[in-house]
Amino acid sequence: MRRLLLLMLGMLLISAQLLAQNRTITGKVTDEKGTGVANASVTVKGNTSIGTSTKPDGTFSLAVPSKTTALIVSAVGLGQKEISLTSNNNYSITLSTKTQDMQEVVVVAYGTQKKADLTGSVTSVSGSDVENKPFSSLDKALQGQVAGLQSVAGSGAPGSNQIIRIRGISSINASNSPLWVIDGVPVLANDLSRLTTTANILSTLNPNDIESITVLKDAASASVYGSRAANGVILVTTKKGRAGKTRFRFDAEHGQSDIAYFNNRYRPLTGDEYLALTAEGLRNAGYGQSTIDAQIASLGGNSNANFNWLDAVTRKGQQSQYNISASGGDAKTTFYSSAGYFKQEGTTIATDMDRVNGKLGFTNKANDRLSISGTIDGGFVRQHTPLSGGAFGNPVLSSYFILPTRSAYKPDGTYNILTSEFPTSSTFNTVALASMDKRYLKELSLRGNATVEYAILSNLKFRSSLGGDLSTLEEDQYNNPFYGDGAVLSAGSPTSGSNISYGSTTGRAYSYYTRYFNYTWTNTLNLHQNITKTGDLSFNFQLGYEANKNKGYFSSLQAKGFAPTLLLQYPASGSTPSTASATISDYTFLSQFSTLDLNYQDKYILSGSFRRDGSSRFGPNNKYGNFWSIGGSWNIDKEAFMSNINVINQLKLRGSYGVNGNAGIGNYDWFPSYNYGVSYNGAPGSAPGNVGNLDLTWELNKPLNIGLDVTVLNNRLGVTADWYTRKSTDLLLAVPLSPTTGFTSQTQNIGAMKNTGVELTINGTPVQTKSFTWTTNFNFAHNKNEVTSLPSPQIGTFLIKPGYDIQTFYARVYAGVDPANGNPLWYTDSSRKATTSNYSSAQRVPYGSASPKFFGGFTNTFSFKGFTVEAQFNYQFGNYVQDAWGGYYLGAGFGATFNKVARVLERWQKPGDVTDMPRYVYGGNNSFSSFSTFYLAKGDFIRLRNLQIGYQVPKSILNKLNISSAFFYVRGANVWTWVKDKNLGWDPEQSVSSQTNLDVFIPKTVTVGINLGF
Amino acid sequence: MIRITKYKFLFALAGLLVIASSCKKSYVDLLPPTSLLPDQALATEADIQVALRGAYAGFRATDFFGRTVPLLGDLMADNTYQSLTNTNRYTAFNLYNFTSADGNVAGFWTAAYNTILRANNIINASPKITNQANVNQYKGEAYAIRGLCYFYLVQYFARPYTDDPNGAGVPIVLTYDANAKPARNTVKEVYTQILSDLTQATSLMTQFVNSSQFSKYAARGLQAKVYLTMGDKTNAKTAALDVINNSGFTLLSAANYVSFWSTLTPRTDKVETLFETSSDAINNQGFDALANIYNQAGYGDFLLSDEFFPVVAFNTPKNGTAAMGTANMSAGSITSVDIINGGSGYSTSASNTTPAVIFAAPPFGGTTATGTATLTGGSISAVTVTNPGTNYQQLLEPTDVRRGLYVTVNRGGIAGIAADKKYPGTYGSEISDPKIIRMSEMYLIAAEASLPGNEADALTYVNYLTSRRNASAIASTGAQLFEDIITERRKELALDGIRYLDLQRLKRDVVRSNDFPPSARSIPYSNFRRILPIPQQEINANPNIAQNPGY
Repeated sequence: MRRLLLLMLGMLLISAQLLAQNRTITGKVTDEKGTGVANASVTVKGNTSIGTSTKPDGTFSLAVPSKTTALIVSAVGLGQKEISLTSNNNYSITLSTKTQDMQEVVVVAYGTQKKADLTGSVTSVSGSDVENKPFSSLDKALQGQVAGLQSVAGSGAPGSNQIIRIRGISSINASNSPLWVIDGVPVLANDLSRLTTTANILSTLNPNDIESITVLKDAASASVYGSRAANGVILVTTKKGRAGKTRFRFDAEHGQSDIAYFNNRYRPLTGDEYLALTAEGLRNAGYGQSTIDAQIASLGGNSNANFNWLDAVTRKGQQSQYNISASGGDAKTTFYSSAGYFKQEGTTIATDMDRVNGKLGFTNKANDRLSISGTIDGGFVRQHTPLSGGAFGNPVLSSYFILPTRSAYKPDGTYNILTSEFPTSSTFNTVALASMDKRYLKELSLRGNATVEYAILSNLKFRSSLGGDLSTLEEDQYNNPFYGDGAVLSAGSPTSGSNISYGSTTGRAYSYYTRYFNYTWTNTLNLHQNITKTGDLSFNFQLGYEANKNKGYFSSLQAKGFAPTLLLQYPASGSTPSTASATISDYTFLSQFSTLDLNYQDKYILSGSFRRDGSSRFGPNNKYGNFWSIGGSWNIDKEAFMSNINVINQLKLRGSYGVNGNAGIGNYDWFPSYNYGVSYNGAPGSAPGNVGNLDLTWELNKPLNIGLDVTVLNNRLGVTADWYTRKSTDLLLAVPLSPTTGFTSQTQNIGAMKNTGVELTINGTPVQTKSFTWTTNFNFAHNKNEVTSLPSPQIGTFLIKPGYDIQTFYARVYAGVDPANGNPLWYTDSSRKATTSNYSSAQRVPYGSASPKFFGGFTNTFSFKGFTVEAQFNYQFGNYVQDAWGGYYLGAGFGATFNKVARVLERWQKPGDVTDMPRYVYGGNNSFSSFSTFYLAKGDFIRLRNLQIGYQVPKSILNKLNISSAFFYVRGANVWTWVKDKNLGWDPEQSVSSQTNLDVFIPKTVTVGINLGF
Repeated sequence: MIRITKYKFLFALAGLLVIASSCKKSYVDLLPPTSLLPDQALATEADIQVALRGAYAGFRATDFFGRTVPLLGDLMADNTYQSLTNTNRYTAFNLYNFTSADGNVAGFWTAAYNTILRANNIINASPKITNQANVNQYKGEAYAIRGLCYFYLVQYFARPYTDDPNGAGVPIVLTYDANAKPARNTVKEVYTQILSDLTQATSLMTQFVNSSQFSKYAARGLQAKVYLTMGDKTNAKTAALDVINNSGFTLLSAANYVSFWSTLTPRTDKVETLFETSSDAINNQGFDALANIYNQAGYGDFLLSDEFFPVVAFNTPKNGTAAMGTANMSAGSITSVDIINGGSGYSTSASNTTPAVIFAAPPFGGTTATGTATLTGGSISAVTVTNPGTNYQQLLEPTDVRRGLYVTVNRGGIAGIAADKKYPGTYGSEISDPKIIRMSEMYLIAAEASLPGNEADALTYVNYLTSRRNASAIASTGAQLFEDIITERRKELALDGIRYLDLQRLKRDVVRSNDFPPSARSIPYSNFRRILPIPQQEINANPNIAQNPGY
């Protein structure tokens, strides 16, 4: 640190320069047709704090320091242009769509950079591509937009978590999620909840407040984030004000959602179908007629009910959103403020979310050297999310498991909660529970930062930024005392009838409070220096210091013993507190970093970065680590020999290599612990908790990237291609210990894997006439993962073993049904020569992967006069999806007292039948219900992620109304899905691990909306 | 002016950097708020007591004494079966088709060795001592805990001592080494270790707290069980009699037999329970506790075999309560039904509510009885037996107080016997604690260990028990007497998780009633699944361990 101080002082001393006199530049900005461009931004090159906006006729006037060499002029949709200043004080500037790509500036780590100067692999998404989409958080809108970025949902619940993987999976046990940096501040992303099934803290951020998103994928772009860069970095820049007339914008949207994908072979059986099948199953199991009759009767054989549980727990969800923003300011001070409301109902009962959010940001140029800026945004999300997976209270489980012979309602219309029909050992009537129980999340997030920038010299800037986010989550759950998870039968009560007598401590309520406070203080010093007098050779040097601390606070309350009413729902009303716990969990990072870019005539660019990180998460023996990168690019189009080749607008070769880390591990994983709270007879007890590892440290990631950017035909066609390989070593692994030691595993830095892949992005404008434009974007990514080193294979549903993909399914290969007797058969081994009906005698073999071989998206936009049609597809090929609960509803009689799906009707019935569905035997047929390749389906799909038909009202009409713009649209999300495999029972989007979990169905949503500007 | 601003700023900048550089190294040194290092956690005598509680809590794990171990002790034998209406737990043990990947087996193994680690850390600790007697007591209890762990491990994962003492047992781990990959010791070595631990335990312990903590005589009682399991009748009898004569513990009387099981907290009165694992209303396994899987107010998946007494149940009216009754039998046939509770809401006029009498099928084949109900004002007032059936069994006589622990149930339309009053404490309250060592067993050990030499003693001890159960006195001799004592063990210790271990040490086949699945009614002693597989998890992590044959 002290060295840094000395260095900075030194730089100050060599920089005594006199301030220059001002001059005033005037001019006019026009488009290709010569029309004046309103609200174009005009700033001084190298000092964006000096700038203005053009008037409605395109004219501007700006006082600039006399030493100013150039102006940067930019306008939305027309890109950016650099104007070199001569002695002339008046300029005519023409912007065109063609200039856009060449001079585009992108947000990068700790600053911005001209796209042409990039050496790394960076993809930008404009804010307009994520706004007004019917998604509860911006990460959901990223799907299919960035080559190599896989963004998938596990649940269709509003506000649900989204899983993002950039360039594959690099870790087995540490985090695989990218680092999210919002306005320069690393923030908490993902699901911070503890009680709620799925939540997403990013849902507190309104996508309409986003200016741009930049995805950093390789070493050159990301390594400056050191030990947190291994999974890529997503930089989010929120909207800022622009000088000029105050602009208002209003957006409103309303729509409805339904289940996006449904396979009719996976519909639940009707009552008659189920009873007939069960009788057959009992017969096949060898039971006599009297037992069969009794069992059928008890399964509702006498009831006349034929209840469709799927219909009862699903619905058409309503959704709407409203956003309003205002921005403006003058040459000194600009502001942006917004407010929004978003409400979404899920496709399943008891799922909804709403968000209220607001944002305020300002920038002030105190003088020509000092500028200050600040932003604060807050979002408050309320969310109901049902249980998932095997919980009795999961409505989706209910729709597939509860017998159609049980009705959700009694004949008198009240909820049917008779124990004779819904015994305590069975799934619950979730239709009743949806109204009787409560699961509620309220999360509030405040993000903000305050930044001071000071130009010590015109080419030396100091920036200090203190930013942070505060998130609080209040989670409440209430299980009523009458029925369901909260209703506990009293001890020893006779249960031969429906005369339930409840215990005194029934009904329960939880209140969990979670608070995260995360702050980051970043100080950087930036020096831009010409090495040669002409400026042909120059460098940018950045030196930084960053301290980050995250403080978590968690309190958990639970009480039981509730009065027999549905009106008292908080723990305070309970008679017996049963959980009272509070604790903290913190981590810190302390970092020094620097970057250096060398630029020769914009032709050759060499970049390097270095960062040293220390973190509380690492063991005392390995607390500090060094991370670095080196990158280079060659703008071939700038070479003299290219000057005559007009067809090529840009041709650039990039390459980078470096080392970064993955610190996404538990806060105290290294600590060999004795844990408390292992009480006995109400007195405190202790027991060994974690075996610990004092050497524990970050995982290393070494990405190599080679890329090519080509733009041809007057920028009508652009291609970006990247090849990468990244080796991840020192992987944190739960190295299995012999359980006889008392521990089952120890986390060690051991093991390695490799991701290699290619990415391709094509942007084109196939047709461009005065009134009709067709633009297209296609992106494609292929990633190959291979575990390269591991002390011993880890065997579960996935086989984790050197030579194999990290998500290789490990399953017995299903060989179909023996036509002679209807028993299931499996291949004995991978040779698939012999079959067996003994599940245990069949060997498991590596079988496909849950990760797609390739994925991406393509978008076509057609504009005709005021009309636009935009269709964005995303696709994924080459993975398998595991039906993790299939054993119950497909398992040939396993879980016989649960309902089955229609595919079971394809069962074997008599010798000679050829089918893949075995003979139905009450209780199960030879372990058919156990995991095998039968429960794997190909996951290939193409989905119409976004379809929008819009109309921009002509200015001629709007001018009369004093409205600057008006846009009407109809939008559909997930409206069409194609899957390859007819055996795929569930939505192909099943999180990254491609395993179904009876989650809320992914919705397809149709909305209508309007955007107004005035 | 401009220059001054610049220097002001320079000072501010310098100030900031000084603050930044003054961030100490401790900024990145954070310790967990809820854990201590092992040295810190075992430093004093008081720490040892806290750690000892943690060791006892290890028994509570669902896959250890919390549920799996006591459950398997009856399910893998002939006492309890999985109802057709169930939550799919332990199906593989009902069907006898479990594999080395079985989660409950892995859980048992892991929980037992984890508890052994907790005990080892106490035994090997050198704390700051203020009262030597206290430390001796804590260490003595830890020895007993370790002995108990090894006793159950070796019985389930190895062929019995009575089969081959030199067969493969389980690894003996006495000190902590995270990287150890131990091979299996012989069965004999394991038993030697158990006996050594229990000798240490009995000599070190001087205090009695309650039935949920080991005392000298609880350890001595465990020793009696260990000797009996080894076939060492002399030592078994000596140890059992030591407990009977010197411990001060008393046997349950007939009068308080049923109410005893509704006492959910550990006892301090030295009645019956020598050792149990304790759960309270807060620290318990919740839905995963043993009581919840037996009690019909919980999962209620497992029912007592119909061998114990003939069962009658009634259907449930749509809007009312079901009747309850008990069947009486004579010579294998149902003679009459006593109505305990006539229920309500029955009707012969409306549809679906006609009262139906459901007799369970006889447990080993025969004719199922039938009967018709007489209705009086919506309740069943009497049952007429229309067909008495044949071949009904009745291990528990109608007078036997032990019948009071069970209720007859209509589960999924099939009549069965549930243990609701043996395990009354289910989720939501203080939970019924599994009993590990009981005085009743001491008498049964003394009786069994007296044979074949001393039939008089055997009769004395076994009938000391039967007379306190309102059961007929045993009067047989020779092989039949031995048989009657084993049956008496089955009756007294049913649902305590002991029956299977008896069948193991006696090397007997498992013969299960028709309540069990047709494919798993006869499990000969030779069947490889009569001992559990070494969990796959252990096999994967430990190259030195050998799997049991067949898996």
